[in-house]
Amino acid sequence: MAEKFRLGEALNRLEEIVESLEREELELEDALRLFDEGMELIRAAERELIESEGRIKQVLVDRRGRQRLADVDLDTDDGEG
Amino acid sequence: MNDDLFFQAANTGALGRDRVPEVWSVSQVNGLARRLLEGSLPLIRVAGEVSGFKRYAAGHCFFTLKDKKAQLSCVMWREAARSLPAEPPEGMAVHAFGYLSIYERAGRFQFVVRELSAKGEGLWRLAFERLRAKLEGEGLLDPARKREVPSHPACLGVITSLEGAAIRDIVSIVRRRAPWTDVLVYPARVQGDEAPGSLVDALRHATRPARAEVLIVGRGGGSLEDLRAFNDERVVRAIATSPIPVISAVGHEVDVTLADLVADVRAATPSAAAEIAVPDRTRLRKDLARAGEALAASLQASARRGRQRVERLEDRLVERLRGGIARRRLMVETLRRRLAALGPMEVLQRGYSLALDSEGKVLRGVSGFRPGSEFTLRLKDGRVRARAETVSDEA
Repeated sequence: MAEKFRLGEALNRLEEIVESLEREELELEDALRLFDEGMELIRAAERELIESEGRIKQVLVDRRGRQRLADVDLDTDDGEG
Repeated sequence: MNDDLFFQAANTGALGRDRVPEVWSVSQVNGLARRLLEGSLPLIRVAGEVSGFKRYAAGHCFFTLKDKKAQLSCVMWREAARSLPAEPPEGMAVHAFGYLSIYERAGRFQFVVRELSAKGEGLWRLAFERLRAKLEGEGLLDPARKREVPSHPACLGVITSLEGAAIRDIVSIVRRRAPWTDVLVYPARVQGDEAPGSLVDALRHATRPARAEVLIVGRGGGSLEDLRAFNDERVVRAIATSPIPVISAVGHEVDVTLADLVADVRAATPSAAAEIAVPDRTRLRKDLARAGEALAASLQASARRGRQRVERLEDRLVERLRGGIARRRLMVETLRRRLAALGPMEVLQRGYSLALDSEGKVLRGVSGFRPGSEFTLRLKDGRVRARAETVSDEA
């Protein structure tokens, strides 16, 4: 399974970047590097917001306490199906 | 005892297999009495005041029901006592539902209570207040214990029934607001006697291992009776000690449950809980756009600062250069003077003269001269026209 993009972490990092760009007197080269990183985070986050669809699973537990994910059938009206 | 009743008892087997003994043992008498009593009356409801309520270690409870004229020994066996929300205080008016019996070993007449209820929600209210006071005493209701729920969870855990409306409401809202979020449902019973144990199990499964970053625990709206599991001490403690922040969503606007009080956030309904748990996509996109603008602005500011720095450096460089030029000029002047000192005029100044041919070239040796040839002598203060008499290479 591909590593899930962690939106929360991306947004935290983005905030850090904006803050250090705004607060610190950085060398232009460093500023540029941070800017690129920030823009890449924004692009990735936007992709996540638009394209990514999370899983909806139920967690089943067997007698030995082992967990397993199973599909869950819910008739939700989410306007997409 | 009339004969009918006697033989009725005999027929139930209370007297042993086939015949009525002539002499009775105490055990036989008590056994007969118990069977007669238990068999002769249906379940009845008795109103009275509780006195001397005591719960023994094995879980059985004993007390006396009183009115103004009489008292009745009561027992609640462990199984029945388990459903008792709280031990009734002295003098509480209750209804006891059960049957008459005899405790054979002591020959004691007693009322076996299946259910004990106070007027309205009396006992539940009492249990609630007692547990609340206990939890408060332990600091579990301290607002300082409440954790912030993460604002952008990658995974949301939901502990509720798969049959209820709650899970549908939550999934629908997550899909609309933050469709990238994973939702893990830990199915649990939310009403009935098994609900507390089931909820506690689900909470344990959801926290070990902790896959979700925030948990919603709850159910859709229900009657007060239906909320009991969320006032159960085991459930309340499991929520209070969850390593993952918990949003309670018990779906009852009026009555706050203890689960609500120990949860990190209380939501009035499962939908409200979902809205607290996940961010709104529309707002996030605006935030991202703003972040992009902030980045661009900061980069520009940084570039501006860089340019200003370059300009400052340029200024300093120019200043240095100017200083350098002045020094060089001085040096050039000195050198010019020193060069001038080596020039022919200086030689002449020192009293020498130069012989030049008709074209003004310096005649450096005798080979430039012929007897009778004309030349010019250059001295420091003028020139002399001259003619060579003889030419010899002897010095």
